[in-house]
Amino acid sequence: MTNAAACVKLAAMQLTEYSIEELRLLLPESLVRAPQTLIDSVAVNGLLVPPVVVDGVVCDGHRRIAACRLAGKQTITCLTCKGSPGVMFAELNSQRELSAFEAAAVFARLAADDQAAFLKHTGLSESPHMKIALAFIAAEILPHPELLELSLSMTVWRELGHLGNYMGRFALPLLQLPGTAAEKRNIAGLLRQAQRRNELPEKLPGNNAGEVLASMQKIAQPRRTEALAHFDAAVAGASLPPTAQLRIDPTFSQPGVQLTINLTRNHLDRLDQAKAAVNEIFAAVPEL
Amino acid sequence: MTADTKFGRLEFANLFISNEVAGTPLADQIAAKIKYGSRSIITGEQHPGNGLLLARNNGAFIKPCPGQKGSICCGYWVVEWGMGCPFGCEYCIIQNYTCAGDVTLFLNWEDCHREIVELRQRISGPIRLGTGQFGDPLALEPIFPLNAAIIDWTAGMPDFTLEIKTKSAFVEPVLQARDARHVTLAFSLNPQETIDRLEHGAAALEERLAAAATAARASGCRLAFHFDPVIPVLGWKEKYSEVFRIMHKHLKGLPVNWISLGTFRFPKGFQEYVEKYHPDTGIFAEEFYPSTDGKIRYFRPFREEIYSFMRAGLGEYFSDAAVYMCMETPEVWERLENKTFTSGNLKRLLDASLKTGLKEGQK
Repeated sequence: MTNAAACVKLAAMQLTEYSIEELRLLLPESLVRAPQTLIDSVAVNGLLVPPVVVDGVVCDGHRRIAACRLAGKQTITCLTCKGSPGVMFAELNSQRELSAFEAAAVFARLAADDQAAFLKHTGLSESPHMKIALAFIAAEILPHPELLELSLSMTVWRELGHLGNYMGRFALPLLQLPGTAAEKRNIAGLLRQAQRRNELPEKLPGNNAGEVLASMQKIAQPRRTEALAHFDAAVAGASLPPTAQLRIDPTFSQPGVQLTINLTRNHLDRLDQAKAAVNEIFAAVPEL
Repeated sequence: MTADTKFGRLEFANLFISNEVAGTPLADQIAAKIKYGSRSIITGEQHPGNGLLLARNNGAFIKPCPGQKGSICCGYWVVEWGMGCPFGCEYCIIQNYTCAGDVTLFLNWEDCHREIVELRQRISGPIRLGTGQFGDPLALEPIFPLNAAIIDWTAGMPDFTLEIKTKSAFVEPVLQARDARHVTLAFSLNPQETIDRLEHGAAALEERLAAAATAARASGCRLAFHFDPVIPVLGWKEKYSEVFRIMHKHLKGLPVNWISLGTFRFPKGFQEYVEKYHPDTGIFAEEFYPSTDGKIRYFRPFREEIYSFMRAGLGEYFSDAAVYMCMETPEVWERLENKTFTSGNLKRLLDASLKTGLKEGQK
């Protein structure tokens, strides 16, 4: 359902006064943080937009409720409607990308019949691997609030879901691994590739994302790793003149090298030197 | 969909007939030849999914092969007769387009005929026209005999060959043609182990080659072979060498126009689709990298190794046939040919092979 359709549905809802204590949250409290500006606004102006509730379960407005609680409110006026709280949550949040933890928390509470609608509204693929990943997060990560400070993108979780029974071996270490989001995305892709080759390691091979990435490339991309090693060795052994720099396509999809060299009137001979060195490199690296 | 192509019995969950072709003799003939669960009349040519759709092609039947921007292409023409295939090849992009087995067939053949005649009038020089771009044409021929019709329409057309590609062993349309000398009957080939593992429903390697030999001897048609996709499984060199030997055993002395090579490649997102339907497929175990044209291919130096090996192996037995790479990058062509190689060069290579063949066929 589109947001517009959701609005039509909401228009038919009723306003009901709830005690804050009787409301049940769909998301774990550890995933809900009300910003100070919202708390201040609620304290001064009251709640301007009512949360949406299905059978006493909050499916939209978690942060507003948290802000009301922190602002000392006892009761809240909510819009009440019928249906699946999880699916309603997905519909009302379809304008933003849910975090993997939010999606997993709601997915875990869905009836089996509602899973497809939830995945459709959230834009997540309805694949067994995505379901494995969401189930893993719900079981292994959400119960540990200290882990909720960390994050991996949904793309990474989906890749990890492909690991199936081996997901447990890598998911938590990858979540906790020091490194950038891009490095972790690449590591997840390489883990999946290593699995296709039946060469998954016993554990993440390294203490940080850079080390793991380098090791995983050796495992999952041996042809490229070997060609890069040939190139590095050839460059080390070649007599490139000062100021000369060589660049290659690191995937070797484009053959050849790009040579950059500063020439001066007094050092034109560097061009011949560079040519001889590149010839040596070509001879030593057939992949180029 | 289930298929027994040898006897032409195809079974579909649903038969959809567009109101534009409902009640035509061809629609009735096709409906009588297949088994289906339910039958319904629909509007338009949009496939509702899960079955066979009979419709009218309101666009063009004859188109230049779309090729791939950034690849060396051969100047081929294709017949868009519909889309879909009864075979379930795990590596096949058509299944990605058609939701695993749905088939669409266009029934306004009179437009197809007219467009072929117009093409011959409009284009000077050799024309290579193929029916195998959107599915296996001979696998569907028992219910949809368009290839037989095109063979008949184009017999005697100057400088023209109709290439009919298949993974089946059903060559009756060629055998029964009044003149098939302008036909290039082409077979996709792979080692039997790969056929067993990935080409579900297709004919065995030796069945294809026996059918090729029978058709060439009986009808005077020429032959072509396509190693596409080449999938380098464990021991691939021995396995493909064995295929070359088996080819030679069946085809010695028969006219082969060309043999194409294409290593497995796919667009972004294709892995997700294939692994959803074939979670244990091994076809993505190799290293893949994106090419400049957007397709994802094997490691480029490895592709060159594969092509060098295949070209040398085929050259031992089929030195007269043009062996070329399909949808490969200019860089790979240049490294294998040791010179710049363009789409124009490839077109001329294949056209020349066709001219030789036509002369021999008309002796």
